[in-house]
Amino acid sequence: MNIKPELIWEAFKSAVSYIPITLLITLVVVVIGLLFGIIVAAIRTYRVPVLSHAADGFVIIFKAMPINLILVVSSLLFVTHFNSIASFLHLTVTVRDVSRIYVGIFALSFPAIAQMSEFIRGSLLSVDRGQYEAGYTVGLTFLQTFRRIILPQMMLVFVPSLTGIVIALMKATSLVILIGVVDVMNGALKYANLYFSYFEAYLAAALVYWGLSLVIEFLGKSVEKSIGRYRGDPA
Amino acid sequence: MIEIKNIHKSYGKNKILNGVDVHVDEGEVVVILGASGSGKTTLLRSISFLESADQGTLTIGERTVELNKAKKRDIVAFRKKTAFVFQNHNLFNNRTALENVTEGLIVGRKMPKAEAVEIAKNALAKVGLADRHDYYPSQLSGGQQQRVGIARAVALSPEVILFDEPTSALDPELIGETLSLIKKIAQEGITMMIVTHEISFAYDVASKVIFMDGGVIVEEGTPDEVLVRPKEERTRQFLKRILKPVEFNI
Amino acid sequence: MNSDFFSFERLLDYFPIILSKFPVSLYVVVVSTALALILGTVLAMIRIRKIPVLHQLAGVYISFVRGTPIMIHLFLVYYGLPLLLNAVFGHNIASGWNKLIFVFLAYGLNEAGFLAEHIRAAILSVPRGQTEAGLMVGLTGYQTFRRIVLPQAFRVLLPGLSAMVVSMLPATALAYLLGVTDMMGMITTISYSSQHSLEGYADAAIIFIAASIILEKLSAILIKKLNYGRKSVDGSL
Repeated sequence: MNIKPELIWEAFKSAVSYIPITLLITLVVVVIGLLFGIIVAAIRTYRVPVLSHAADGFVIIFKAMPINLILVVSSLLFVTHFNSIASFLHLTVTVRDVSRIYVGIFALSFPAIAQMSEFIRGSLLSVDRGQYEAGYTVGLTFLQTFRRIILPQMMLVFVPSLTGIVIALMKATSLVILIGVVDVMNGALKYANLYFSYFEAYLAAALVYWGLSLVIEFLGKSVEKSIGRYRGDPA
Repeated sequence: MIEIKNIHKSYGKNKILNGVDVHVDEGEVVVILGASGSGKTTLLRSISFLESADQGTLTIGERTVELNKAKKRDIVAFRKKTAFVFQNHNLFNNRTALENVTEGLIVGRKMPKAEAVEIAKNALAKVGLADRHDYYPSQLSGGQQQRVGIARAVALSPEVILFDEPTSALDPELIGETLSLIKKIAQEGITMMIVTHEISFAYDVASKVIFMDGGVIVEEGTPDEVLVRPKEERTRQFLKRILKPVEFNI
Repeated sequence: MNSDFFSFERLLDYFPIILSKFPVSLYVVVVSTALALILGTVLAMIRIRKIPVLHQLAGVYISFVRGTPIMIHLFLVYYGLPLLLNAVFGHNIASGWNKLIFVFLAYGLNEAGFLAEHIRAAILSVPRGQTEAGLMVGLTGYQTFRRIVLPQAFRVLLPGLSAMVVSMLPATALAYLLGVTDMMGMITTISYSSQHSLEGYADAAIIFIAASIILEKLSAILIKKLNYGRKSVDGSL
């Protein structure tokens, strides 16, 4: 049993051709995570009555649950219940018409929101209470204080951690293979069955994910730098 | 007896020590004075091998070593002859007061635990902290921490204790008690080298005072010679500057 | 719509069966974390000392592990270790090994990549004076590191480490992919005979959530205990 470089190359090419799928899922999940994560974080940070307990519960539950479990259960529910829900809503689509990608995005969104909200909350709490009070005393409203004083400061903490979250979510999208989506991971494994070249296939997939992570990290660093410049510039 | 000869040390182009010789007899208390940047702390740290000197020899007792050629073995052997009291205490944060004192005895000198604890208890009693054995450094005041630091050094019964500005990190009201403790230990005949800014303490405790400036020894002699009738202009300037704020009566 | 889709009766029936496999997950977390602490400390020391070649290799290793999915690490170890052993010993000595060993290794290697940077920061957070004091009371460099620096670094590391352990627990739910019968594997087994898996997944979810809450509470207690007399938990004096 030897490693065959040509099979790594085949798997690599196949995996690369599915990069758009992996990036699409990542991007959508990140955007959903950000939007809802902000809401969840705000509810928890400013202790909105009743809702804050629900938000606490949401975060605890989806941080503790394995992502693959969420995926598999979502897929299970989707297969068994989608038709009845669709017909209830008088939609003409059926299970067959809907791409599994959407199921993947749906399932990954829950842990994404939970994770994202934790980091947003952390960066919100990193801004001293005195900053709000200072804003109020010069006559700003809460929203004005938030937008002009708090947000720029929390971004300094949040953006560096965002890179890490995006990479983590990108890596987590590889789990959609469990519900049959063909992404980078699945693409790499396309011929593995044929040649029993699993090691080569996983190695190729690893190289593609690694490359994507390095690109995301590089982009994150560039954004950080531009924010840093903004911070250092008194004008 | 401690003999330091022709010690040189520079950081890049910056010469910190430029040929310093010091001789300390047994039982002697040598106080080193000087402005910050004069090289006095570097001198102390170099003979402890906390800084690696570029040149120079160190003799403690029978044993001599070239500072820049010292092997690991030599360094360990020489450190066992010395003890160090740090400016900012450097108590082991993860050890209680008692454990701070026993650590070097048990692990460094392979002393049986019971014996080490006995010595440590005596040392802590000597510095007035018999009731603080089980306190962690964070539960002690700055002055108490420094007293544990002194007990830690004394318990090792080294040939010389090196004090690096032992009171400069302390609150003013704690300086007095720490200095009188050091004086008490000095009177027991332990050899000491002390870097400090406390002139009246130096006058009280020193058998020899050394004034350093720009990496060299400018003047040395008895406390009377250096502090009361300094020959060198630089010494006079220094004393004038440092004594100005308070009225000074010897 | 299938009315027999979900039943509380089955939820209760399966619960003890699924729970009986929970120790497997815990086992994976404990062993792989222990492995990761050792390897992570070695990596951290290589990085701190800037040992030539090894320093660069460690950097590549950490970047690779952090940049690739853990599922891939599982399979790379599973398929790669036999290849490696074959190359070294001439035959695959791992052929009869328990699948759990691959799981331990994969999670341990993965966690080490993440821990290495935490450990490095923790070691560097211990003031230089602590080492100097250790040397000056006559300890060797290694003794000072082992007895003075590491315990204090561990205290700094603890909050990050416990957060990592808590997040490791759900991550171990991929072990079944290598054929280990953990909770997820047990659900698959049950569903073969009963055609029902949803209740099993619900049971597993409940167990994971409860376990993570308990783990988090335990680590909070541990952090408080290891405070060396400090009152605050955040490490500030």
